Amino acid sequence: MQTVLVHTKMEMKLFFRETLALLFTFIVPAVSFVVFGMMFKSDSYDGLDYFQAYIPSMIAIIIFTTAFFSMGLQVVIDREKGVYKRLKGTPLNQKAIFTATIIKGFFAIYVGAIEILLIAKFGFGAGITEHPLQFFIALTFCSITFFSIGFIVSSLAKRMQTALGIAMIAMYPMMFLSGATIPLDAFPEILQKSAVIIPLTYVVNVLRDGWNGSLFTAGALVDLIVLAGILIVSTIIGTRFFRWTD
Amino acid sequence: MKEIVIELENIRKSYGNVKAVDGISLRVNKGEVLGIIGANGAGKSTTLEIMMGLRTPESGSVKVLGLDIMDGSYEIKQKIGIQLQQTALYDRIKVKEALELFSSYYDKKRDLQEIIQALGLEPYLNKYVKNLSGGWQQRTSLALALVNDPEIIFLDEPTTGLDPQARLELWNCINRFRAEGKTIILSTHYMDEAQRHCDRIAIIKKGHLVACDQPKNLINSLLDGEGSMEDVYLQYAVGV
Repeated sequence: MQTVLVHTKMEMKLFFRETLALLFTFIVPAVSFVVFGMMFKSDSYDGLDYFQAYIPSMIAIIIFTTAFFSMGLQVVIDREKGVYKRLKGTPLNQKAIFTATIIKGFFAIYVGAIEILLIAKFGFGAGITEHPLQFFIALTFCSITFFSIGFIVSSLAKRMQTALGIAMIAMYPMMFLSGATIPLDAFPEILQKSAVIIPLTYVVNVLRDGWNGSLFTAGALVDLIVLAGILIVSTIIGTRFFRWTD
Repeated sequence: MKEIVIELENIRKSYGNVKAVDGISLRVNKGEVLGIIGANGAGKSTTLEIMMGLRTPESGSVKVLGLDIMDGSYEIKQKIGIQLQQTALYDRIKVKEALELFSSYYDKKRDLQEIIQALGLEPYLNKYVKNLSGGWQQRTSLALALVNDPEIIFLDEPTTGLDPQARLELWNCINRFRAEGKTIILSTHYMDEAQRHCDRIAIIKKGHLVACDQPKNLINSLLDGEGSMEDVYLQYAVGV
């Protein structure tokens, strides 16, 4: 147990030294939130005001970047360097490495989320959700789902360049076709339709449901089922193909 | 009667169609320095990695410190120290952090200050491992192999790519721990160091163990003893 703690602490410390991870977790979403906030704060989206719609959206982006960059890509980098092979030669259990990676992921997402909330509250004077528990549940569930996708990235990619490529290619549709940044109505119909195949669309919807207190209503059911499906399928794929060492 | 610390019995391991290790049996005595030599791709690393418990052979048995490597994996790993060919560390870890991290994995811990001093790592403690020169990276890896005061130390090509002075200094470090009676198993491409530092040399060719003896016996077995370790290598590992 002590060992797991020490290892997790080190993973966190290394995370804070990873410029790319910090940029995508704490800078890009926050800056986007501020810029879009200044431009669109008086608009409304399907009956939600800017903050009700875009606080959850920016946090959805943090979930994506954490799962793909800080977890999926980082695992490939560490594996390619032989870190996990070296660790296999120690008494440290692979479950401990897995646990540390997951804890790091949650930590990045929760801290990133708090950052967005603080900007919203103190930067824009926006109201914070009246349903913190629902939002927390939604956030945690969405994170777990995306962690499982992150592990698929590290199952498929053997090399750092491949993983980085996958993450960069996934980033554009995830950010722009999921409704996380730009309202889907702004796109031609064909692109609007493509949102259904972007996993982050469902994260955006579920987080908005949590934020606005409708997580446990019929309206949220389809999104929750899709995410649960993704989680199950990715876990099966991950368990089948993921390797700590080559 | 010498105490045997490693016992390989007819181990085999293939990658696809390539038989990396094809029926190797080998015993390692307590306190000896065993060198493994052979061409690239001959199966040196695979053999070492099987002994380290990093790879599972398809057949054959592996006993380390009297325990079967499958059943006693955790206990064995507590008592061995390894160094891989690559430095194999996180990109953004510092020397001191790596030492403390690895030390935390083990029940038995050797005083880190003593290891740092023995390997001369003091000036580099707060530097990122990946920014160090090859020689200092290798010393850091060696230091990490020592944090649990292991009974057996495995070193996979510890001196490859180092300049002559760095090689000499690394050997001075290794010999310090040899003097404590630790068993050391290493692979190398340098015949001079194999001859000078190893008690016995195992020669691997295409997955087979073709010879295993004291350097002087190997040399005496050829050319009426007039040859060198290079001749031994060419005869056994290359087969010209």
